[in-house]
Amino acid sequence: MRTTIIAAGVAFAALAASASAALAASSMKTLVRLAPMTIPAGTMEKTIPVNIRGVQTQLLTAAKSRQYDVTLELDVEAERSPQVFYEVYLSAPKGRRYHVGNVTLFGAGIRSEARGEFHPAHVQLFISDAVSLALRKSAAHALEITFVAKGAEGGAAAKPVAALVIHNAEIVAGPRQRS
Amino acid sequence: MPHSRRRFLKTTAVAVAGASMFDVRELMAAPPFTRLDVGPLTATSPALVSYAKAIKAMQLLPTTNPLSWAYQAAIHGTTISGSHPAWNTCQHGTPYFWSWHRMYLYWFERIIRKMSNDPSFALPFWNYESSSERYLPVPFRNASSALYTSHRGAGWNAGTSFLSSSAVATSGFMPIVPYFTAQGNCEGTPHGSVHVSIGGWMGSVPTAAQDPIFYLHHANIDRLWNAWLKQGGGRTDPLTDNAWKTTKFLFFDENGAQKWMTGCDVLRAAEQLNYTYQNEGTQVKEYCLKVLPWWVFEKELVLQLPPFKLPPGPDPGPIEINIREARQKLLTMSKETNTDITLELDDIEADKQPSVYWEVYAGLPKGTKPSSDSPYYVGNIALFGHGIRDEHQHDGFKPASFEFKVDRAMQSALSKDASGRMDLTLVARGAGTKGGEAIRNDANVTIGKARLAVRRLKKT
Repeated sequence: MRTTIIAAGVAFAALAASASAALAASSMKTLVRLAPMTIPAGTMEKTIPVNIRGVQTQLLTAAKSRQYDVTLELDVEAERSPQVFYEVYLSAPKGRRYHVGNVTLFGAGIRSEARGEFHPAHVQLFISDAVSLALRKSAAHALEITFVAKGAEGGAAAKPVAALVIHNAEIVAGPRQRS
Repeated sequence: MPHSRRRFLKTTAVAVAGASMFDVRELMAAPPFTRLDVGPLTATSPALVSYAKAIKAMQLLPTTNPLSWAYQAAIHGTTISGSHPAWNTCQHGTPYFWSWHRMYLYWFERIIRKMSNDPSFALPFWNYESSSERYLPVPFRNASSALYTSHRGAGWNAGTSFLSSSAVATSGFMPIVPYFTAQGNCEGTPHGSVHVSIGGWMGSVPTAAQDPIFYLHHANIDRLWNAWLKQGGGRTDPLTDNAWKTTKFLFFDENGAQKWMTGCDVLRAAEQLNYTYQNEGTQVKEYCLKVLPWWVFEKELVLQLPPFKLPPGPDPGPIEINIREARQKLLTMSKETNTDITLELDDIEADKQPSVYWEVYAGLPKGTKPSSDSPYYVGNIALFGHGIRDEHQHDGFKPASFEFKVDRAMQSALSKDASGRMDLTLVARGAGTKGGEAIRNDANVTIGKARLAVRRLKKT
């Protein structure tokens, strides 16, 4: 009986934590949906404008809130490994760029290396801080997302040898996942 | 089908330690192993001497031998045609990225121990987060060493290429609390970014594990799993995910015998697998829980509360709950370890997106300043997506629901106050204030159903 009671206590704690996660999953909200895009092989840098007209307030409120995270959600794939990763930056037009993470394909998302059914790789980048900073001094109705191909340092810059296809790109607000 | 919190509650629960699939007693007879930072090591350091010796011996074995270098690499991935047990089973972009690679390294390390005839061998880790370790470790660049391969990107073996700070950054996953999100971001950077930066064999899954540096890279990723967990703050392995806990993966031990492992077998590296990392300190200990079905629980309604509103403007006063008749029962139950007292708020709707969220307090004494550090704080109501009338709903309007565990608050409140009443207090919070101005709700919010309930294990 003692074992059962202790076990129950542990389980309830786990249950409460997971319930929060389930709730979080049900409360995601897409603020901006971008058109699919391709970064061709050989392209070292590509900037994509993001129209945020009508959602600036929501975007900034969520970005500044301690309750929410704003994320850039990407579904990406390549026919074969591009042999680079992409640094991703967010900025207001003509504003300072803020690094929000990388897009890297290794295993997942590479068609020629797929085992069984192929799925694009899902990339989630946390952009709350960058959104807050980018929009701090700007009333812009647009943001920019820039992809910069990157490899090893110290030698000639690595060039992507395969195109990166971005099927879905969304800016999403959801319950905070960071501490 | 989207996750439903209620559905989750019905299908989750309790708890006994899971069974291990391999013999821990045999393992623990060996001394504990410390995986060292490769940075200070040289080609004559025992760990690298033994590693190189084992690689040479393994490269002499036929590809079909599970102890061979080629076979071990092929477990991760291979371009060789044909099928052998466990080949091409590495996990990327799946829930098993961290756990599968921990299993893989564990058995690989045992094989190296045998093939080098060094029973004290432990796999070093490549600590590239340190700015002094961004170049390929020197012993791996010596063309006469078994640690060397020419199949690397330009400049690595010459010692001119190095990892960029963005490739090795851990800031993208360390702050994240949910396991799978953190794991996924770690799999991208630093894991994937380091792979593609080195290039050559390392740059592609089917060839990566042929490069001896692969295993030191993955030892570091494995160390980072421990480091992520150690931050606490709600970080935990996915102990409620049955598939994660029970999916079996095949490996080979140092005698070539097949060994199956699950997530439950690799939760505690020191205790279950007998290794630690240099300078990591005490590891977090987590234990597998066996999920029991919802029907072993029973739920009892204790108090039905009247609906209430949160109108625009300053916070309304506390909602007074008469608990006179249920007071003793609630107090007793709040102290029981196999019982949860819950505050359930359902049918919550707002006419528009509120610009605030609400901290919820149960039993907050009058005159006490609400603080999320206090025992009376039970959670937040944050409306986003569900419960907002004026927003487009993809599949129709759905009111929001929240459930809070209130045992601690009940115990604190009822043990101090015998008046038979208890306050439910909702405090609006937001991103900030302008010139000290109080945060105000700007939406009409209705809470249609509210109740206190008890959930406990059924008596058998």
